[in-house]
Amino acid sequence: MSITKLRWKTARAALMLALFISVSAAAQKKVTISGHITDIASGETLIGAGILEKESGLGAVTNNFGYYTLTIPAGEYDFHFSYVGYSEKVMRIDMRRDTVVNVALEAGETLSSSHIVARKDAGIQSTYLGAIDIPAAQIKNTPVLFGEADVLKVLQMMPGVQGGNEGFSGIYVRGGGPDENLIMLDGVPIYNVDHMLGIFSVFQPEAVKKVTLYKGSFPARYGGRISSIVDIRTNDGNMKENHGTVSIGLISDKLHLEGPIIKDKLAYSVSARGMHTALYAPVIKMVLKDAYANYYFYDLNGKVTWRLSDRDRFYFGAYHGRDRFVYDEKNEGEGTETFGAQTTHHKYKDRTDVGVHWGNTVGSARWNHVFNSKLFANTTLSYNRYRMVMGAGSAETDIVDGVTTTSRYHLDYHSGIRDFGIRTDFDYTPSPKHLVKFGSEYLWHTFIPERMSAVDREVNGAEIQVDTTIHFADPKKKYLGHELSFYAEDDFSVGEHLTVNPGVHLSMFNTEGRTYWSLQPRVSAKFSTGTGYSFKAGYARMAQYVHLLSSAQISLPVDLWVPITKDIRPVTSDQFSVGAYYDGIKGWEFSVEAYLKNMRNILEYKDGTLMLGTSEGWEKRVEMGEGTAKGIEFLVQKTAGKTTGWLAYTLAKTDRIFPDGSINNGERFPYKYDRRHCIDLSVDHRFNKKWGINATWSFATGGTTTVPVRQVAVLSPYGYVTDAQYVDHRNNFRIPPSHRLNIGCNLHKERRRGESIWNLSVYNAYNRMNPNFVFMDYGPDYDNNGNYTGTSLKMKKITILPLLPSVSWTRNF
Amino acid sequence: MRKYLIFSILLTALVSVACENTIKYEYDLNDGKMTLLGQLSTADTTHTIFLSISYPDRIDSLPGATVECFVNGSRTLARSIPAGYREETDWMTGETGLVPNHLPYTEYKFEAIFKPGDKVRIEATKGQMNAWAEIVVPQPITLIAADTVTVVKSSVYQSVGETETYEQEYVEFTVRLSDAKGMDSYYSMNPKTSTVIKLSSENEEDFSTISQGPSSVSYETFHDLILEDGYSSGMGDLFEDLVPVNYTRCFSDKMFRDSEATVRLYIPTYYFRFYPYEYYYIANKIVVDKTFHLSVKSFDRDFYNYLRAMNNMQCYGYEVSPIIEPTMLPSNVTGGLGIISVASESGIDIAFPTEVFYR
Repeated sequence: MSITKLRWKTARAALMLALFISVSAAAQKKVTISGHITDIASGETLIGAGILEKESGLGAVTNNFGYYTLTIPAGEYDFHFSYVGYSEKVMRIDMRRDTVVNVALEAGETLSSSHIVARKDAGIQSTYLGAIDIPAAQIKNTPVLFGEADVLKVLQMMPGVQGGNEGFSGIYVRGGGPDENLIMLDGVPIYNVDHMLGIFSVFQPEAVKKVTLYKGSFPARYGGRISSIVDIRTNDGNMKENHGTVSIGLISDKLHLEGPIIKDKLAYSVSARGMHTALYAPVIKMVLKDAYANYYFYDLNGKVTWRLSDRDRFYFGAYHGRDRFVYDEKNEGEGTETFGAQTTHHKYKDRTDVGVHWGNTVGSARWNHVFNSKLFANTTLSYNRYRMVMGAGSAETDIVDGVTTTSRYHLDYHSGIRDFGIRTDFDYTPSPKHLVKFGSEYLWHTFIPERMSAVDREVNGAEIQVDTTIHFADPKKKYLGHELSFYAEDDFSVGEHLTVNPGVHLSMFNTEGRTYWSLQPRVSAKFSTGTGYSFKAGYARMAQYVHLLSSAQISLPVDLWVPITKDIRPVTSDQFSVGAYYDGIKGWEFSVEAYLKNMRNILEYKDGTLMLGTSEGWEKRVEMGEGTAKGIEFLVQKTAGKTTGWLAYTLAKTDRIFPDGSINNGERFPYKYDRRHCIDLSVDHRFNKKWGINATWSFATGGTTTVPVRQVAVLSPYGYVTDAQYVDHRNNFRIPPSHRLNIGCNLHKERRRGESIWNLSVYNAYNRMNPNFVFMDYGPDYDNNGNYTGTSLKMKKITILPLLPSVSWTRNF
Repeated sequence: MRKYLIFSILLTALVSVACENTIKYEYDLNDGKMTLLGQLSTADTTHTIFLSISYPDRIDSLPGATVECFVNGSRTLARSIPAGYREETDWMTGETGLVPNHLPYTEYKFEAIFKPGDKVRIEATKGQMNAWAEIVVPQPITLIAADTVTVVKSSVYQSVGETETYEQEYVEFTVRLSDAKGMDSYYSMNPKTSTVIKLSSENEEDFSTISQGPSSVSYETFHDLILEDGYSSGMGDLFEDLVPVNYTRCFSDKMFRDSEATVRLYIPTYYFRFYPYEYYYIANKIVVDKTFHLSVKSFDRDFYNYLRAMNNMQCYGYEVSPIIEPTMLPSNVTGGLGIISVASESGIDIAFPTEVFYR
């Protein structure tokens, strides 16, 4: 072969190779489709809506702001956009370059969530364990006390979540305490989540879009509490047209309005809720002229959404809620008294008033920015304040023979917590196989534990006898805390069946000149067989820097949030969890999860300490110890069809130990809310467009409490013998189990514009006398003749919430 | 106070609409447990054991029991001698008049001498019931030195524009302690004063001598970390009635283990003042000698925990309350309940200058 021929062959081969490479390169060119998925009627962004390219199986879901991004090889595809409760939309798009596609879905045929592709934040498709999405509709349909739909009470029905006191809204997740849950409204932590001592939560269902609960392998972006994260997202506001809801119930009245300010650009959403007693306060005051007493609560929510462009969106949100109790009593009179020859005429007028109010004020400003089709950012500025203010006073005027004596005493007491925060979150999607999230947050906490002052003034005639203002505590006393955190996580696919989510959360808390650092690794993995079965395993370390000094089993305004100190270390937990899942039957989901959680530096009040929420000397009254929680949770959900609902069963055990002996003589004891078995059944059936019923049944083994078991002689500090009640160990009595059936019925009536809904519900339908408080009663016994026969011992329970029917009327327009 | 106010108002509102029922609670009214109580000391030769029987609903006295004391395995007395038993019963006003408010126990006395290191066993038996406690007498603390100075301490109450200060004169006792070596030690501080008064008339020198005390005196600590032992000082604290103070005056050696420490206690000077006026009608010369006795008891961890439990009960009451975490009572009695302690006692005396008063 000549050299020339050889060169020609070589050149031809090189040309062919170059051509092949360029063709291959063209074939593998990646393009990205991104945009927002919204409701067609309202323009409301849909969280967790899916996009799927069925042939390749590649898909993505929208984030908390309705934004999605999917990178695929260039080509022409049928994209399926879907969301639970909405009709699927298929769009054929020739993808040659990065493309922005905003999709509006129409409410309609109910779609099982199993149709939605992976990389969700919660649910079976999510890589995380113990992550549950609760749509607003589910919250509104669940029958509850006095017809008031309640976010936290629906959460209580999830496996692994328990209510505290029967009928109250506190949540206890996987053996944790009530202060170990980070409850966030649009990403801003809320400290006081209760109204009316915990019977209702502060979240108004009309304003809520979606609730997500994390209790297992926490995403790295969350931190600050060890037991659960509750992420509550509110409505953005209707971008298309004005709508509203008016609701009148037994306890409260509600109003919700939303609509466009500039169509498809600027929208508002406002909600208000208030107890009737707030509205009728002037009338009550008029009727109860001399001794006026009133209690009420109210909530105000507002949000403005501004879609500046496809790349930039702004959200401004505010929440303000209060509980208020007032008492005002007036007396007056006059008379004449005669002492011998002297006659004295006197007149008096006195007034006693007590007022206490407490609640949160929250404000946030959020900016969504799409840098490019692969990088999305959300930046939030937030302000949050919880405040309790109490005033009590008395004033008295006496006129004796024309000489006036006035005295006035007024006590002011307040406490609270204030946070300023800034947070930035990035979603980066380098390829369909990866979803990287990273960001940071800074919170500036100011804790104002207690401030109290009193004014005492007494004037006799023209002479000022007393005029003093006393500050019982340092009026400038406050604690500062600086909390800084960074996180990064990557949810990525390994092959067709395995997704892994490793992440890390690094946090720092600085207070009283001491800085605590915490490196919290998180990892979870999911293996899907492709036949409906999937298996997950995860691990998460969490740390917590604030505590709630709680007084009782109910939420009281004097409960105080306090930071960790130089002596009280952060609470940490390590949680291991595994789970098996099946969603191979359309409209059904089955899951079983098991967990083991070890907690360190958890706080308990020492033996013999007062639990009232004073912060004074609180470090001396608590002890740091360890706790374990373990359990298995079963959940069966029916997510589609006319009948939906779920059945949850939890088998759990949780205990505490304080090795230094300061509590329970150093021996392990069951936690107050150690409930072995919990069953929750919720069924919602829609007969037709007009009628629907719903029912929930809950059973829970009783928690524990401490009761004296005998009377015993003791040596007093001064050396004499006296008698006392003897307690053998902490939480030595198991309270009887609680169970109750709640039933609700909805009648929908189509109106010229919108609809009206009558709701009739019965709480505790078979009037089970569930115990709210249990106590031992010692008292003298007498025979029929009234003779003392000895001292008897009885265990008594107090039931606050027996059978309670309610009715409410709602008008949507 | 305001806490109770809010708590009461809100709780009353709830409870007013609530229903109360009795729930099943199984207990055996005849399930009695013998309770032994005793605070014995190396400084005493006569000791007292309080014996009672604890039931779910009552306490009864326990006369006719045998109480024995063994020191290092030998019974110091052939048989414990009940010094007669005494039942103290007082009365309280019930709904139908007076009802017995039993404070029943039976008191047993015996004589014995204990030394540090002794193994002491106190055993009580009656019928089928038998309970005992075994204690090793701990080593005493060493009081190296003590000194006094009179100081003025002030409690501050703030008002707008001014600070109100209440001043009190104290005798400050500075005491140097040396911890018992090689062990965790637990102590209590017990100051006492005694007075000897000698009366003279124009005709007769020292015609009468009157001895008073020793009697216990209270002291303040003003944030002495060792003596307060983690409790509030109780001085001027806003919530002093809500936080227990160290009524039993117990403390541990955790801040000076196997070493020395200086503590300061403050006793109001009025404890040391003598007012001679009441003797002026019989004497024209009164000579007063005052002595301060500082005794420190050393005992075991069980009794220390018991004293701390008593601090809580003394502050919040001896009954279980829904707003107070119940106090667990430690016990070192096998087969029963209660606590027996044998303390090693060390002491130091400080004599004050003799005072002479003339009518």
